[in-house]
Amino acid sequence: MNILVVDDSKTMRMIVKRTLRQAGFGGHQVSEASDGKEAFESIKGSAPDLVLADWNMPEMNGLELLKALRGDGIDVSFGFVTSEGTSEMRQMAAENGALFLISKPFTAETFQEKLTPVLS
Amino acid sequence: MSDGANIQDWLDAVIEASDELASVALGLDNTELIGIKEAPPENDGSAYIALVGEKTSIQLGILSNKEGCQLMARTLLAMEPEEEDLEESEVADAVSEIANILAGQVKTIMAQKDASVNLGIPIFVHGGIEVTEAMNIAAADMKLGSIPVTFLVLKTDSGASA
Repeated sequence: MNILVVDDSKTMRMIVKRTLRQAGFGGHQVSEASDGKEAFESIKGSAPDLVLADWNMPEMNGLELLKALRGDGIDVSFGFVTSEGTSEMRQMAAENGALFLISKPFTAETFQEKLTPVLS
Repeated sequence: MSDGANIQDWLDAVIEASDELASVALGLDNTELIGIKEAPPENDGSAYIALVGEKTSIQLGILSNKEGCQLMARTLLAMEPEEEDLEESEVADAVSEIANILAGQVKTIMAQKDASVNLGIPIFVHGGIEVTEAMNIAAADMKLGSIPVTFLVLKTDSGASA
């Protein structure tokens, strides 16, 4: 399966990929985008099976990306991996179609818990 | 114009958040509070991130010397000791991400006192910052494992004149 990691921090993209391996998802193809706009264009071109997106990014943030995808009828599985962890943000994520919100800092166990239902 | 959260509340939240930051994000066993002060220290590098709400404007800063910034970045990336040092741009990105993680935790801790706060996007600067009269400052010198850092809270009240 193909996972798209969207984060403006190259460091965090590396950490997400590392955590995916640690959580047992190393066999999946992982691609990257550095902001929501780049991700949107990438997804329209070749839809991944799962998008893991940060929330706060320049150009187009994660929520804007999710809304744009749903607005275009793109129903790709989508989860946030973000420093935003308040109940309000979690509710906003769910209301807009995100399957989960993993708040930073995260563990491999959290990735296993949230991603297994999506990737299995 | 009070928002119910003073600068010490924010600094307390930062200190509280530093435990989880150190243990989960950095894989470090302990944090140590060395001291509290009211001025930013001299430093080689620092990452700042804004938390802005209806009634207040906060900048959170993580400051350290050059070696401390390199070590923070290497620790976040779980690098082996024998691996080559990171480039400056990589250090900046990593320390900025640490600031981002910290700010998110602080926002969650402080949500009860100020739910209107939004996170900005972090920046990394070399050297110190110029503090203005409109700013209140609180700083905590800490050790994350063996890494010396200063956490800085800069608070501007929206009713203050420049």
